[in-house]
Amino acid sequence: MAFHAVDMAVIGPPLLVGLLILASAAPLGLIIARRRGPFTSLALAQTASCGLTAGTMLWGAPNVLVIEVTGLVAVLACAGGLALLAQRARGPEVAAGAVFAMAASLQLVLLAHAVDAAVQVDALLVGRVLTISPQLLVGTILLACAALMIWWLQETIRTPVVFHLLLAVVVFVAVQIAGLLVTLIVVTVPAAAASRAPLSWQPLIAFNIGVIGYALGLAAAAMLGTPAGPTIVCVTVPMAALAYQMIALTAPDGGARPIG
Amino acid sequence: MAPPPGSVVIAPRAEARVGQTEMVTIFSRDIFAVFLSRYADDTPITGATVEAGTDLQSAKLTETDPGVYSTRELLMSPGRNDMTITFTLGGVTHTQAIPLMMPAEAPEPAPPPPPAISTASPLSIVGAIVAVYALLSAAFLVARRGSPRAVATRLGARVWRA
Repeated sequence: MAFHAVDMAVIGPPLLVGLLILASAAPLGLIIARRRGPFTSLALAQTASCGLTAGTMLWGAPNVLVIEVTGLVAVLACAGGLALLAQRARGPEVAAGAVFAMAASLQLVLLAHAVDAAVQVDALLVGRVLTISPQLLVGTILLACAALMIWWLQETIRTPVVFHLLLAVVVFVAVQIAGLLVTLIVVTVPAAAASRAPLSWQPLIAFNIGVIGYALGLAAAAMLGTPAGPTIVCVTVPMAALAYQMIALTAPDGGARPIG
Repeated sequence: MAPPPGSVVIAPRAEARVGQTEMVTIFSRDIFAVFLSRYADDTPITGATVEAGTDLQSAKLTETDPGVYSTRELLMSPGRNDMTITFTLGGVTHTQAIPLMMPAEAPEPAPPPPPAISTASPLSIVGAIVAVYALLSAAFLVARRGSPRAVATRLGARVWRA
C-alpha cells in the first residue's frame, strides 16, 4: 500500500463539507441517541438513496433537478410516516427497520436490470465526497445554517414531525455527498459517544468527536489511496468508542446518561 | 487515490419461455444469436431448426455450438426491433415474438468528475476550515449557555418520554 502526501487542495473542500454535515447532524443525533433509535436515520438515508435511484430510472440521469425533487419527496414522505409511527406505534423502531429493509430491497429490485448497478450502489454506499461541486458546497452551507438555526431557536424541534422532516433533509443531502455509510455513522455514533457527557456539553462534544474521526479518516484515505467514505467510517467508530470511555472515566458520576 | 470504478456493458438481449423451452436472444458484433435450452435443467437443445426475422428481413440460423444458433444476415436498427423467432423441434414448430432493444448511438462517455481541487492556496484553505470550525463551535458554545433543562427541552427529551 503506497503512502501519499496529504494535499489540502484535495481534502480541503470535503473537510469543509464534513464540518457542515457534522454540525447539522450532531444535535439531531443526540435526539436519536436519547430515543435509542438509530433505525430512523438509517431508514431515512436508505429511502433517500432509493428515491434518487427511482428518480434516475424514471426521468433519466440528465434530469438532475427532477431526480432531486423525486428523492426529496420520497424521503419527506417517509419522514412524515415515521413521525406518525413515533407518536402512535408501540414499536416505532421496528417499523423504521422495516422501512429500511423495504427501501433497500426496492432499490435492489430497481437496479436489477441496470447495466451500471454496481457503480450506482457503490456511489450510494460510499458517496462522492472528494468530487463535491461548488454548488453542492454552497447548498450544504445553507442547509447547515438552517438546521442549526431551527435547532437553536425553535422549540418546534421538540415535535416529532419537525424533527423527522429536518432529519430527512439533512440525511438527503448528506447521503448524496458522503454516502449511506458515512451519513449513518456521523448522525448516530458521535452523538451516542457524547451521551455520557454533561448534558449542556453534549452537542459540542458530539460535533468534535465527529470532526476528529472525519478529519483523520479523510487524511488516512488521502495518504493510503483508499475510498474516503469507508475509511472515515473505519476511523470514526473506534474514535467514538475511545471518546465514550474517556468521557466515562473523566465524568464525576461516571457519565450522566449511559446509552447502553 | 483509487481509480474510479468502471462500468460493465452487455450486449442487447431478450429472453422468452416457450413451453418447456427457454430462449435467449442476443445481438453482438453483427451476430444475432439464439440460445435454446430446456427450462427445467438448462440443458442446451440441439438439432433444432431456427429462423429469425423482422418485417423486412429473415434468416435461417446455423447451429454453431450445442444449443447456440446464430447468423450474420440480420441487421438491427437503434431502438426497438420486433423479432419473430420460429424454431422446429421434434416436428413441432413454435413461433415467438421477442422485442430486442438496441441502444441509440451512444455519445462519448462523460469523463469522471475530477476531485474538487481548489485553486486557492493551501494556507487559505486551512484558514477557511479553521474559521468554519471556530464558527460552528462558537454556535454550540452559545447554545450551551441555556440551562440543562432548556437544553434538554431543545433536545426533545420530554416529548420522547411522552
